[in-house]
Amino acid sequence: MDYKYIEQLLERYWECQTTLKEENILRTFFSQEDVPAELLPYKEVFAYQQEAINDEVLGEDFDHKVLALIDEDKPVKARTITMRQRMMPFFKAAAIVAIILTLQNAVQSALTDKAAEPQPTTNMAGINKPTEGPSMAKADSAKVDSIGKTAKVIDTE
Amino acid sequence: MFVNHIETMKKISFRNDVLPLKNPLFRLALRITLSREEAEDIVQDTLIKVWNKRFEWDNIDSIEAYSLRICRNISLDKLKMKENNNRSLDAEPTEMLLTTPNPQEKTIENDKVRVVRQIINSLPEKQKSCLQLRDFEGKQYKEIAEILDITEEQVKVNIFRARQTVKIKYQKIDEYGL
Repeated sequence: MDYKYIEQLLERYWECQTTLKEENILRTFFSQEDVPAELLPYKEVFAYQQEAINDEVLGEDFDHKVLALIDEDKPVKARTITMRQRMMPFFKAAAIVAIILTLQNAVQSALTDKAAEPQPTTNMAGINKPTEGPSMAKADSAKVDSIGKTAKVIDTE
Repeated sequence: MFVNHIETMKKISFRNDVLPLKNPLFRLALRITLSREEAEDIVQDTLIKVWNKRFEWDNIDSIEAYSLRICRNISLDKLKMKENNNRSLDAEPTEMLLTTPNPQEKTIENDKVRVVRQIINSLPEKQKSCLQLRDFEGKQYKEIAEILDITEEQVKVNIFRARQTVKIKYQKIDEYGL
């Protein structure tokens, strides 16, 4: 087998001309059992490089030690506050106000409907509603819908 | 109001990105201080120091280079302290050559390998640190330059000298037959 390539690499290694890839080739080559006599003299130089990586390591207890020190130090985990979370109190307040207004509407229109006579004063309820009079049924269902919707909104929040 | 989209940024984790650096850090500290005990302490100090800077992690290009740099600096400080302490005592110059062998070593270190180890350990610090980072940790010249805060050219010179010294000294010892 022609070891000329390895010899060339070796020469370039001493001259600091090799790439990391080439240095890996040298390490792999010299880690074999059977190294040709001419190249034997430098086997240990590269063998040592391989060994040191494997031998000089820190064990798992070290990991535990360091993580323990870190954990003492760690503050309460910062939570991400989304826009939604920040606005939530406002959403909830708005929902409550909506319910109150809707109920107010419902109560008022219920009272005015009972009166039956379309009196100017009782038309206050009518001003609040976009539709009035014959569309009473629609208004009722609209009210139910709006209450239902608000309720639905609250449920999903 | 600004929304904190922490989830969308690529977050460096101590456990997954920093802690695994312990072995390269250990080997570098060991190469410089020649003491396993000291090296372990240095790695611990390094990791904690890096942890304490975690709010700046996003600004760092390579957390590995950053950590190795801190490790080397702490090692050099420890060396200086030791030197100052030793001045009052009779320090054996040969102490620098011999490192305490690891009793748990899986491979039985043969004599020749030990010779190489000692040759490297006795190199001037810059040379052996550059050599360590290149031949043992597989770093590019550019990265080594960043870690040591020197130019790439200087890295090459240091490695060249280190390798030449290893070659010549090893040849000499080998000639006398071990």
